Amino acid sequence: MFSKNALRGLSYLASAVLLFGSVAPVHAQAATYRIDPVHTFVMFRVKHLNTGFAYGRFNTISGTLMVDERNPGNSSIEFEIDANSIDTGNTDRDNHLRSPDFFNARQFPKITFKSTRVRKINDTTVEVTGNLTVRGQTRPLTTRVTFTGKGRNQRGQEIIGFETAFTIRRSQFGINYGLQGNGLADDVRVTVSVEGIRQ
Amino acid sequence: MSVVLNSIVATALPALLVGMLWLVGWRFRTAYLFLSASAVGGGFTLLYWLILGKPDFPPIDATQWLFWLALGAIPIGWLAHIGREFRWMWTWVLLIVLAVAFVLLLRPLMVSEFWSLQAGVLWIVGLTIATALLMAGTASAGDRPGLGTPFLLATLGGLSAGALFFGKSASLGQLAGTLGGVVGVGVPIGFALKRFQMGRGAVGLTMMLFALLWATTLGYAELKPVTLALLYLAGFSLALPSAPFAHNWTPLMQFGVPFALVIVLGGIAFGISYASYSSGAGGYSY
Repeated sequence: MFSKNALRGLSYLASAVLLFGSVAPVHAQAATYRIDPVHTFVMFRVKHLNTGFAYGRFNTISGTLMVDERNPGNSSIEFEIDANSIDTGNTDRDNHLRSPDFFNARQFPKITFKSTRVRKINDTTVEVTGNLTVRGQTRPLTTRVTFTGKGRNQRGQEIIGFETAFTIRRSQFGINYGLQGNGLADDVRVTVSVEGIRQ
Repeated sequence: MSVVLNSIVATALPALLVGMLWLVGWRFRTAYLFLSASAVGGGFTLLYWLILGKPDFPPIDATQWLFWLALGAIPIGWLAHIGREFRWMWTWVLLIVLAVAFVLLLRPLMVSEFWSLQAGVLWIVGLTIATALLMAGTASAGDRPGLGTPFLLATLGGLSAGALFFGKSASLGQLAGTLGGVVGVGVPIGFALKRFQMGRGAVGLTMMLFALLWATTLGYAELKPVTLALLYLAGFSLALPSAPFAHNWTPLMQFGVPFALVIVLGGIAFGISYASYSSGAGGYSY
């Protein structure tokens, strides 16, 4: 007959097998994270009159991350930004940025990005390629995305963080106002810091 | 190239084109029926290209329709010269063409759900009727010789530019201002040649282009409906000297009354836009 210790050892083994059996398939497939709009930031900067940088952000963001830690190539990201939520700290400028001179936000209220390919660079960095749509014009975009951390929020939900920065030429999206005379530069530096909540 | 130099070039080149076509054509009655409006349509498309670049076709951005509508509406200007007995036909063509133009221009606002379908249809119907009346009513100003009509249109263009600029679209304001500048080339021509006439087609098409610019700023930027109404009324003032009660007006009154109304109504429109802009007090100056 089995001793008490042997039985305890078997039960541990059984638990481990069950645990491994249940956890391993989860790691083999992508986990879905919903973008947390409160802890996600889309910021931009553009040079004004070839002198200083003007900064701004978008306040309303939504989207989904599919994260496959074992096989990052299976990961993906989709996000949507409300163009009307632009915020540069000046209401008049924000209204001008919403007008046809810039985003034409009444016709194109959404800015979207949808990844088409994710390639692992190293343990903390992936290269994401996808389509960025601004003002109704879709252009390919490739950027390196860095894993910034993983943990749990105050509600006990699993959270994950990434950050990326890239430069776009606004003229490629039909946003040409102020290019003449270097009123506003063509290059816009965009920084995106995403926090996702596991679903 | 500096902004100032660019604006000068963007106005001067189309103005030169329009001025040359008018100067060459106005003595040849039949040819001028086609040239007067073609010059305005061609001049506007050239200035659009110089200011905003080559538009896509079909347009991605609704505001790009302004370029294609200016080209496509040139035959409307030709039809403005048909005889009085067929003028009803012109009015019907105007209604149909304008309805199509406003649908193309404003439909995206319903697609994006900024306007409800009902609100969009009401705006399109209202703008179509108002613009048809504006064009039909003011076209006769093109028959008046001298510098009066181009001067009034240039003034309307300048005040429109201010209203649209402070209505939060600098580029649409720039288009309105340069359009005023382009048709304003008729002022020196009218000064030099007392019998010079802009032509019905040129005035009709200019009014249509102003109306499209006003409507675009209303829909896509922040022009207020009351400002839009005032700009339309300012435009209508060009029709006053053709009204039955104005037949006994002296030449000074025929110019002075519409000019005063354009200044007052256009000035109030400008003032409303500027007041809205300056109330922000955020120090933003475009």
